[in-house]
Formats: sequence, structure tokens, C-alpha cells
Amino acid sequence: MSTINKHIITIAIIGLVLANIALAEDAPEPNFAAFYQALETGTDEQAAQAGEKIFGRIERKYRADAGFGALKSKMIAADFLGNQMITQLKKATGRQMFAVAGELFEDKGKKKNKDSLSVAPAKSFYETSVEIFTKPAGSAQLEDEEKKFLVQFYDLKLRILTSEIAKAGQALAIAEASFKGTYDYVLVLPLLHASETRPVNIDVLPKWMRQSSQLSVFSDSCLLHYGFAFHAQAFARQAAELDNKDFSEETFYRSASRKCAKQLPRVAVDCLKRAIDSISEEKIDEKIALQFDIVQVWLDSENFTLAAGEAKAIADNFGDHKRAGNAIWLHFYALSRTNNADTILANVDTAITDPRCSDYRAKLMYMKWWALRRQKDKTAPIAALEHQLITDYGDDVMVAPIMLSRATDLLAGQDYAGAFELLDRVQEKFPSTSAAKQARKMAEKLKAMQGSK
Amino acid sequence: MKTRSIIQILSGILLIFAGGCSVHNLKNTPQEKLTITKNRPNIVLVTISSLRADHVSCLGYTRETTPNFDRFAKDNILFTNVFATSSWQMPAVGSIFTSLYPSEHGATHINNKLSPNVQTLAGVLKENGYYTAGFGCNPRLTGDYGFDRGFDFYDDYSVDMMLSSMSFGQEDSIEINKRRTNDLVNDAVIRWLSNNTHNPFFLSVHYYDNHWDYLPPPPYDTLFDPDYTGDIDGTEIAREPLYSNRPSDEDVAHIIALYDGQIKQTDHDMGELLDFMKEEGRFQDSVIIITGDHGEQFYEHGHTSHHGIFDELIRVPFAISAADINEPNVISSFASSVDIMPTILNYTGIVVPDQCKGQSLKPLIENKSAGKRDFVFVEYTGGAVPDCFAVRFERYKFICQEGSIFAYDLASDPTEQKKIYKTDFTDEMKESFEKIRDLIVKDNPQPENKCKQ
Repeated sequence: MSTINKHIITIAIIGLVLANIALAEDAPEPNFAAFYQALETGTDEQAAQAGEKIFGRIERKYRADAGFGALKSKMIAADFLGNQMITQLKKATGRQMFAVAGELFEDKGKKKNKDSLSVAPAKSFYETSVEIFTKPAGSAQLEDEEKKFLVQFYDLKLRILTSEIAKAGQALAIAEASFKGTYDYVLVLPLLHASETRPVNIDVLPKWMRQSSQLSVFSDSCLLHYGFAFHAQAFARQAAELDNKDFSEETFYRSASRKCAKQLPRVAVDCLKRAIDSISEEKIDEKIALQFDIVQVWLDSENFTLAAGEAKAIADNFGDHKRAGNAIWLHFYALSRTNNADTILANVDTAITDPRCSDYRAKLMYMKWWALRRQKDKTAPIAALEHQLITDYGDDVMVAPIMLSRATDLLAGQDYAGAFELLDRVQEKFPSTSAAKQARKMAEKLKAMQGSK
Repeated sequence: MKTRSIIQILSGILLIFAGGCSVHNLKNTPQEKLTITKNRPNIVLVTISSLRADHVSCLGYTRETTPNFDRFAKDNILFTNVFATSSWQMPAVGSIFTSLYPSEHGATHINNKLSPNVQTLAGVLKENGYYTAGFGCNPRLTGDYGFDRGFDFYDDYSVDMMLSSMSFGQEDSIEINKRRTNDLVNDAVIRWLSNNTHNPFFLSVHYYDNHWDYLPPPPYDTLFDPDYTGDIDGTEIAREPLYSNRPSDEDVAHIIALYDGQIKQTDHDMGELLDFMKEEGRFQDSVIIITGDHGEQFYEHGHTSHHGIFDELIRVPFAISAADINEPNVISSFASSVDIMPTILNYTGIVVPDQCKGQSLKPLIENKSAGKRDFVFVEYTGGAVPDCFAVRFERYKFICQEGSIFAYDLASDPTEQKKIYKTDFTDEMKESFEKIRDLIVKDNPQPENKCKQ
């Protein structure tokens, strides 16, 4: 268990003890109306003041209730966590101000300490506390009015905290322009109270941040800082609703996957999977196209084993589809990038003769050639395959290096006429390739060697 | 002092030194000049990139990194004190290929080529009836840099071509430092050997995977540090900030573990080639030499990569087999990579060109008293650290760098941490240093005006 969690639990226990001591006093009937009035017309602080009295009474009433105790623990934990973030942001601001002042007034020649900005990523606060906030809370014995109040009061408490965090973050952003994490910090507590089935409640965000442009920034933060595709989508949806714009989940997830494909391939794939889920079943071509996009994300991010698996899944699940051959080819290509010659050789012959792969036959044969070259004692099958490739696909630029390999063999075997012929063919047919450049060098050397002997 | 002046002095020193040291040198002993005879052995020269001697198991390393090299060394002749002439590939391999010091063969900088005016090992062998073939993919040892000189066939292209063609247009360029290439080199070499009808032949094989980046494939990536959870991934090791900024002990240990994994991978790949040659009976008709081109450093002197003249950068493994070697042996006498060409020529019976600064190791292998070196020379001219040269005796290393002469006492300071300036030389040091100074004086009447403290 992390140190932060231990502190939170200790504080929660102390809080519960103190609450029980307070039960000795009799409390007046709760004035819910005053609280709602304050919420409606007053400041959050005024509403909180009104709410604290009601909460105290409910607290005493349900002192022995485990569900209520859990709810109170969460409130205390949220308060502790929020204040911890605020403290850290304020300290960083102070250090930054001090450093700037030092530069201005003390030692102009002194090098600025680049490490002076040392705030932890907001995500780390989320991750160390997520276990606490996923536990169930709330009592079945609560009356409806009490439940309604507690929901409002809890949100109010969170909103006060997020507002304070936002202020502290903005102060740091002013002191140190490189700090861009205000929105990430503001999201910690709201995200801890959200889930895959429950989007972030925007009521707990500072009021001034509940505009479409701000919600879009939160969407990016969810995606790029936290890697939460669902919450990113939910924020984007709410931003669109505020602007009375149409919103398409599929479009959002496609766009989001592009946005994070390079840095966060797993999040990009999550987005693409969600895009697939958002498309109706009959749009099979679109679903498959998105699966190919997943293969490409894995390939681009050099997760070749995952790419091979995804490509195989397409071929297995959509064997009759027109793009099945393409998926089979990509499966082998991804395997080659993991240097998995054994698996390639075990299965590639079937693919080469598979009618679905007819468009990829040359590439698959080339792949087999490559895999054979990584095996021992395959000289004869390699030579046979090379002969077949040169015969069947002699005009395909892909065979240029194969011709060069054959020429090398012929040179080693002192068949100079045969080597010359192949070297000439490479230069003639594929003049702009690196193979042609090499063939030219080899031919020149060969001519010089023959001339000297 | 200007760099050019140092180089001029060094060239002079080296030219004189080679003739002046008390060694048995074939070119100066006409009675041992051998005529070309029939049944000359094939020559196989295997160079491994960036392989420092103290990371080789049979040279005392605690990890089992080199079982195949160890076996080869155990069955044949192992030299335990062999030094490269420089700490990086162009000057170091240039010396192996020419028996000249870097300032003489010219490949001292990435903008300089191997001089067209010097004789190469391949060239001399070719002139004497050998077919000469070279294989490798080191981007600094290509034909463009002159390293193909003398080779009938120099394959510095097929690994690149194989890697590029396998991307099927998915990649713009191939970064060779991040790719596994030894298996492709093996494929080309074994294929060439299988098809070869030339006799005798000289085969040069260079394995590049041991060069940074340190990205050994599984299982070698986690072999020596399986529990590491830090950020070091084997890339960017030779670039700032990692080049000059030592990370935590755990990170350094991981860098070394990855390097060791790479050594073991390379040893495995080399073992495949040795097995093939053994199966083909090549051990009976060939002289086989396995060595490293230079070493590597891990912050022993503030940096990574391989720039400088410290022992970790220049001491390399060296083992040789030949049909007429009757007894396996371990030889601790000093040897230099400039000795490789004379040794090979000595075994073929070809007269060693006057150009050569090295000496044959054959007398040492045959337990003759002649041929012992007192010291070796090292030059650094790469630009990453100031140009310098060193004379490495068994106990002392004398260094001239940036106009300063200093030494290390390797008996009391084996890791070369404490500079001893000339004014503090002991009598014994002065005596050793006198030998060098006398040689300098022969070429430069007032050498100390150019290389002062």
C-alpha cells in the first residue's frame, strides 16, 4: 500500500472517531432548504457552511453504518488528496518565484536550476488513490432527502477542491510557463469518482471551466495525459452539446486515435476498438477497415507481435472478406519484424497457395525467401525459390536484391558469364535502385579483375 | 600545440618505433622470407565490433558471455594482451587491414578514407593468388571509406538491402545501429562459403551487432539484468545526455548488462559460423583469427561509447587457429592489431611488405623467444575527445595529449585515474620514457618543444 493511502486511511479513522465524539450533542432538524438556497444564490463557500451543519447531523445519525462510514472516508480522502495537490503546486510556485527573484537580484551569472519545477504528474495522484475511490459507499438506510443532500454536498466539496486546485495550477503556470498541467490536476478528483459506465460529473468542476472550449481541453487531457478514451469522448460530447453541435462517437474515436497513435499506441488502439463498437453491425467493411487501422498502429509503434495477432484475428474472423488476403500478408509481415522465421516457414506455403492471397503471392514468396535465409542448411530451397521468383516476377523491383544474391553465388562459383548477365539485368531493369548501383560496382570490379588476370 | 603537429610527431614516432623495437620482424630477416608454395591455407579473419577484452569470459570476466570464443581459444592459441591501435572502427580496422598506425593509413576521421597509397592485407593476398572476400555492415567500414581495397568481392550492402527490402515500403530508412544484423552477415557468408570454388581464399567477416545501440534480441536482452525496471532501453547511449552524464548505478549496471547480452548474442552468431566451418572441414585448411576491433567504455572515464586511449577502449580479445598449431596455448606477451597482417602473411608464406609496422606473432605461437613486444602504440583521432597517442608498457602508459605528457602507473592505478606528470616520473618511468624520447629525438631534434607538459 502506498504511503499516501496509509495517510488517507489514518486520517479517515481519526475523522470517524471525532465524529462519534460529536454525537454527544443534540442537533436541530436539518435545514435542507437553506442549503439549496445557498447553492442556488450564494457562493460555494456559503453553501458549504450551510451544508456542514446538515452533514454533521446525518453523520451522527448513521455513526454505526458502515456504508456511510465509507462515504465519509472518501470525502476525507478526497479532501486530503486535494490539499496535497494544492500544497505541491503552491510549493512549486514559491520555489519558482524564489528562483526568479534570485536571478533578478542576487547572482545574474548564476545558472538557473532547470530542475526547480518539480511537481509530480497529475496521473500519479490518480493512480495512487484509485483503489480507495473504487470501493462502494453510501448507506441503504439513508432517507431520500438525505441521499439527495449528500450527493449535492459531496459534489460541492469536490468543486471547492477542484477550484482551489485550478487556482494553484494557474498560479504555477504563470510563474513557470513550462507547466501545462493545470487541467490534468483539476481532473484528478473528478476522474476518481467516474468510471467506464459513469462519465465525469462536470458539476464538480470549477464553474468557469464548464464551457465547451474548456471541456475540449479536458477531453484532450483525459486522452493524452490519462489515456482514458471513454472520458475523453464524454467531455467532447458535453462540449458539443453545449455548442448545440452534432456529435459522433465514431468520428471522435477515429480522430482521437490519430491524435495519440504516435505517443500512446495502446490508447489509440483503445479508441479504434471503441470506434468499431460504435458502428452498426451491418457496416462490416468499415469495421474491418478500422481493424486494419489497429494493425497499422501496432506496426508503426513497433509492437509487431500485437500487429501479427490483430492481423491474424481479421483473417480468422473475416475469412471470406475481400481483404482477408491483405490481413494474411500483414500477419506474415509483422512476424518477419519479430524475426520469427520459424513460424513464417511453418505456415507461409499455405498462404502462398491460398487463392485469397493471390495479390500478395510475390511478397509472400519473398517473405519465405527471407525466412529461409535465416535458417541453416537451406541453400537448395533458397536457390529454387530465387529461381522461381526471378522467373515469375522478374519485372518486379522486389526481385532486384534476389538477382544480386544469385549473382553473388555465381561469382563465388566462378560462373562469371552468368554473374555478368544478372548484374546487367539488375542495372537495366531497375536502374534507380540501390541494387543497380551495387550491381554496377560489382560488374566494374569484375571487369577489372578479369582484365588483370 | 596544434593537432597537426602532434600527428606529425606521432607519425614520426611510429615510423621509427616500429623499426626500433627489439622484435623479430620477418621483413628484416631474409632467411625467413618464405616463397609462395602450393596448398597455402585459406585465411578467415573475424572482427567483432566494440568487444572489450575484460568482458570476455576466458579473459577473466565473471559473466559467461563468450562460450564459443572461449572454446575456440581453449582449443587453439589465445593472446591475453592484445591492443587495438585506436578506440574506434575506422582507424582500428584500418590498422588490422594495413599493419599501419592510423596516422599512416589515413582513416583517422569520418571525413577521411583509407589512403589509396597504402597496401592492404586483402590487396597483398590478392596479388599473391588469393581470392579475397569481405562481409560486414559496419557503416564506417564500407567501400566508400576505402575498406574494400584489395577485395575481389566486398559485401557491405546486402544486410542493408535485406533490411530495406523487408520493410516493403513501410519505412523510409533503416537505422542499422538498432537492427540485428549478425544473422544476415552469417547468411551471406555461409552462402558464399557454400558456393565458393576459389582457392585459396581470404575471408573477412565483421560482426557489427555488438556496437551500440545495445539492443540484443530475446533472450539476451534480459539475460544479465532481468529485474531492471528503469528507463534505460539500450538506445541513445552514445548521445548526450547519456554520453557524458553518468546515470544511477542501477542504470549503468543495466547498460552493461545489455552490452553483455549483445556480446553473448554475437558470440552465438559467431559460433554458428564456426560450426559451419568446422562441419565443412575449414579448420583443417584455414588460418582463423578472431578478434575485436576496439573496446567500449561505461563511464570509467566519464563517457560511454569508445573514444580515447584507456585500456577498456583498446584491449581486445585475440585468438588464432591454424592447421600446424599443435598445442593449444595462452600467450600473455604484448601484441598489437598491426601484428595481424604480418602474422597472416607469415602463415601464407607471402613476404611481408616493407610498409608494415607490425610483426608476425608466429614466432611467439611457436614458442620462440623472438617477437616479444615491450609496448604497443595507440592513437586517438576521432574528434570526440582531444587527439592523443599513448605508449602502453606492461606497467606504465605514457600519453601525449594537447601538448601535455603524462602517464599512468597501471600497477598501482589499473583503472587509469591518476595522471602522473613528467615532473613526477620515477626513475623507472623515466627509463621507459627515455626509450620513447630517444626515438622522437631521432625524427624531431627538439620534440619537447612540440609536446610540452
